Amino acid sequence: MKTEPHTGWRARLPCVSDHKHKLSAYLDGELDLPTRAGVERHLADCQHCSAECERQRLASRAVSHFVVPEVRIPDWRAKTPAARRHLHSPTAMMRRLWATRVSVPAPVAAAACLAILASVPFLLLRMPRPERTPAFPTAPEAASPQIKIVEVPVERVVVVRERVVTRTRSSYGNERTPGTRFRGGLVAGGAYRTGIGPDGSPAAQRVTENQEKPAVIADLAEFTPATNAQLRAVREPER
Amino acid sequence: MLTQEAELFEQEACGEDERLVARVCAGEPALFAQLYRRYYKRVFALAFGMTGRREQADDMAQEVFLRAYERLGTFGGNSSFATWLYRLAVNHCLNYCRSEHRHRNRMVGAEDATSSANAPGPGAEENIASALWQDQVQIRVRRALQALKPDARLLIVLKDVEGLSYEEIADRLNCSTGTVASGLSRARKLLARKLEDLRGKI
Repeated sequence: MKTEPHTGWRARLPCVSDHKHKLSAYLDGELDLPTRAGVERHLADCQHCSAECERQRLASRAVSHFVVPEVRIPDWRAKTPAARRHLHSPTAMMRRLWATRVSVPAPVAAAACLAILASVPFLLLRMPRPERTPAFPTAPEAASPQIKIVEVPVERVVVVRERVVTRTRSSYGNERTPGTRFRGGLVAGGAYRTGIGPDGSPAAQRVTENQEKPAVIADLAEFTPATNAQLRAVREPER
Repeated sequence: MLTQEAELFEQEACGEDERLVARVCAGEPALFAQLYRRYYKRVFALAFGMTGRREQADDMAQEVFLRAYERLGTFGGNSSFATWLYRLAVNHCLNYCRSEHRHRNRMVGAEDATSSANAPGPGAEENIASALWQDQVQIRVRRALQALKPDARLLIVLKDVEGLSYEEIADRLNCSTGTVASGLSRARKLLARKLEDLRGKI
């Protein structure tokens, strides 16, 4: 629909209809039929929105000329060291930090700093002693490339080590009550794979259908003796 | 025979990416190269749309995959791997472009224009003229895109370059479709002002 641009005082009159906010969705075909019909009726009457619709159509058509050049996929291993150096360089990290900053009024920032400084001694006294937790394979490169996995169906696994829960939600998303003693790890039947863990010691890993966060039990002694024997019996022929 | 895009959809629907991720986390890091080859062009296209320069887009794509590799253990399976990777790429590109925008580093090199000149033959002059015009339009469009704020530019790239629907964009950006619609409307309004001189020529 071709229209002439407004001139003079008409050009300064804004459209007050709600339809002007739907022009983009109308051009992209994202409106349902009744809404689309309403926008079309409005465009037939409103020269301002009609002209705006044409301008947006031009912009969309222009971007369709944007051509992404053909690219040869570079070798993953060859480019990783340079990318890692750039990604973890102090300049890049400061840039990321600066890009995500939030503007706060100076008095609020000063009050927040004072509150944090005042609470430091209190937090130090209340801080729980860190406990050794199993190493999770969050960094794929930390796993040994020589790991040998043997599938072992195990009826029940109980991790003997206990700890005091401090968080309300475990790393698996399960709810916990702070202050209770929790037999940490995996308390369930299922299939397990044994092999060498990230730190070179014998390890077992649970295999599930919906494996959200595989946990590596770093120490086979954490299993019950019966489970240990079962796992060892399978591992022995592999040595 | 399926096209490449259709093949990608089939693999996503079957959860093959998620199985690959589980195997990488279980101690087979070499398998990550499969995911890299599968999604590199899509990430590159996003980075190129945001930066307008091939070299920068290449570097940014590498960084995105490196971050994905380092954070693979945090992939919870709540969304598909493609969506997770795309969100990572969007955030990385946005952070980079926001800082670049502040430093007013928006130069587009003429050497980045992709020439569409054909082989010589009858009407070769017209083809060359047409190709040069296409290059000029491309450069104008890229400069206009680079002049937008990164958030507006991202919406234009996701919709008009990548061809995603409003729902897909909202999913990638973790917002509502209404926000996408209004943001896109504002972005196109700004872009149209910068491309006013191309009216009637494309």
